[in-house]
Amino acid sequence: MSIQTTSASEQLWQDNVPEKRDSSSTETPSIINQIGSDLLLSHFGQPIGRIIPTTVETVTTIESSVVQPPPSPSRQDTFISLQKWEGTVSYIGEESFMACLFDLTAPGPDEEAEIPIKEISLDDRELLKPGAVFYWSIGYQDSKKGQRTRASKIRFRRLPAWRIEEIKGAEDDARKIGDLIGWTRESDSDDYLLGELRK
Amino acid sequence: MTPEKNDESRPPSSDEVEISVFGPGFGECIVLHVGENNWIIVDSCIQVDQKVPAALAYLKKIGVNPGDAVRLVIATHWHDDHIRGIGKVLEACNTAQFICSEALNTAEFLTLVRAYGKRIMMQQTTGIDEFNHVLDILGKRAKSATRNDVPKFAIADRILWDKGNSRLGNTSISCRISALSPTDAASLASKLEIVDLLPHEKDSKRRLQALTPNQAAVVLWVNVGGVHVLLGSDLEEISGSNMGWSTIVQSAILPEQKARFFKIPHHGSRTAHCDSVWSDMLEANPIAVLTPFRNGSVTLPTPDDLRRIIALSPNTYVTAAPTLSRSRKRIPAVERTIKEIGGSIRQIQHVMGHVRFRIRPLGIGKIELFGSAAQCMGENFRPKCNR
Repeated sequence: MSIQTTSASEQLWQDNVPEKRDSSSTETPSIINQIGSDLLLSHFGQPIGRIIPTTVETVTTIESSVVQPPPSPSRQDTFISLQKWEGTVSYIGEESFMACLFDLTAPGPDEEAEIPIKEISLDDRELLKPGAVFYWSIGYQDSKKGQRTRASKIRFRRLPAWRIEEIKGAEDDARKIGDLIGWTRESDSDDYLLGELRK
Repeated sequence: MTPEKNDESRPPSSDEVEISVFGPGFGECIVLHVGENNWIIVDSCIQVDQKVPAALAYLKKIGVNPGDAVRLVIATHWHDDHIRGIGKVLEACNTAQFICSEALNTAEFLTLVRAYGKRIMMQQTTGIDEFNHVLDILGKRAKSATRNDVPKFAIADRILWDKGNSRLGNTSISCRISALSPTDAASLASKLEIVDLLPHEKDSKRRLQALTPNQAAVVLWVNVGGVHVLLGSDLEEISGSNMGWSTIVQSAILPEQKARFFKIPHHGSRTAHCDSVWSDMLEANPIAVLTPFRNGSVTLPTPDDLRRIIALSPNTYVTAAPTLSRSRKRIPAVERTIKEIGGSIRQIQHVMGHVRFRIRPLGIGKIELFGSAAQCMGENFRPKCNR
């Protein structure tokens, strides 16, 4: 086998490898295994957001001019993640939004990003609100036909709705801790020594 | 006032008053020494390289045991940039009393904290997480029944701590810490806003956003042996509303003395500026210290903010330059993709800066700068002299 650079329009055969990591990226922390893989497979299994049409970077091909085998019916698009972030929307402008990022690939100092709103899929636009949590992934999208494109995918987290049991539980918990530590007691009027400030 | 060269790890002497302001570019913390190894911590930020609260890192550096020496831990408000790590601070300061704004003294706030604070649904922490940690610590202390850990709530004109007279060196002095805000009106308004934040059945969950404008922040007035200090927190000016800075200045019981040291409110923002604070509450050319803020589209202070503040006092210091940011190096394919979509990523600089003011009663005091702290000169920063 050899490595060659080719255009996206060529029909190439490639082994269908499920989620795999580029050798140049860093080790995935365990939290990614827990959160990231589920999210990527469930949320990024289909193209989401904007796929960038681009020249294929490097593609594994069969050496020689043998006829390429037809794609296997079971083969699916795969996404090879190079970089993943968890973001929280902090500000929404007319054409872009600002977000605080947490690097899920290689945790480090806080980052902030400005991202064009057009990067958000129409389905997710209604979720773009301050405080909304999203996952941003950049990587390679390998099609079942063997085409590779670089892709930026943003998927907003669809958090479940509040359940009445959760709210009641929080209220009960709040009452217990409040009673225990005296949080919601009436203010002690003896502490209000207004005139004392002048002394 | 010319900054001096000094060793950050040298503790103050027993009769020295110290006001240390820490700011890494996002967040701030103030550590006060009010004499005789009595320490007060106001707000908290994280020393990123060590992953520990700045206050604890500093006390360790100067050889102070926080469990013995810290009397009060004060959370002026629950914005992320003022409260990161305050749970760890309170845990370490196990004899300190916890103080926060009267605006949070409601069952609804506790419900909010318990509802949002116990869900692990994202990597980034929030002020609510920190308050949840604080509640757990207070609960644990209450169960141990070894001492009374009832939190104290700060509201305008309330005395929070009064050490009484004691001898510092050859002088007999007192120390008193009072709250100048929130006003009753601000506290009530915030309590109502907290009710609006409560989750309702079938509402979609999302990260809680802090209240703005910040009318319920706790402004502190500290008097140690005649050294007066005004700590402005993030209180903003909301004229004609019975809240904000104008209301403080118009208070019938405004302290008659003027402050020599001013922690400028809300990172130097114009929204927190009030001329009469400078004319009625501060000495001429006070030592003015601000911490920068960078988040989302907001960068504070702006060049206009700096010009305004420097015109009011040449003794203005900042804990870190507000505009420092650089992108983090990533593999070329990722860099190219970010560029192609028209996006940008900047690393939020967390280079800790420390402005320290030490003074003996009746003395003239001295300023020391550490880390990224600098004196403001025009729109630029004078290089610090400690490194």
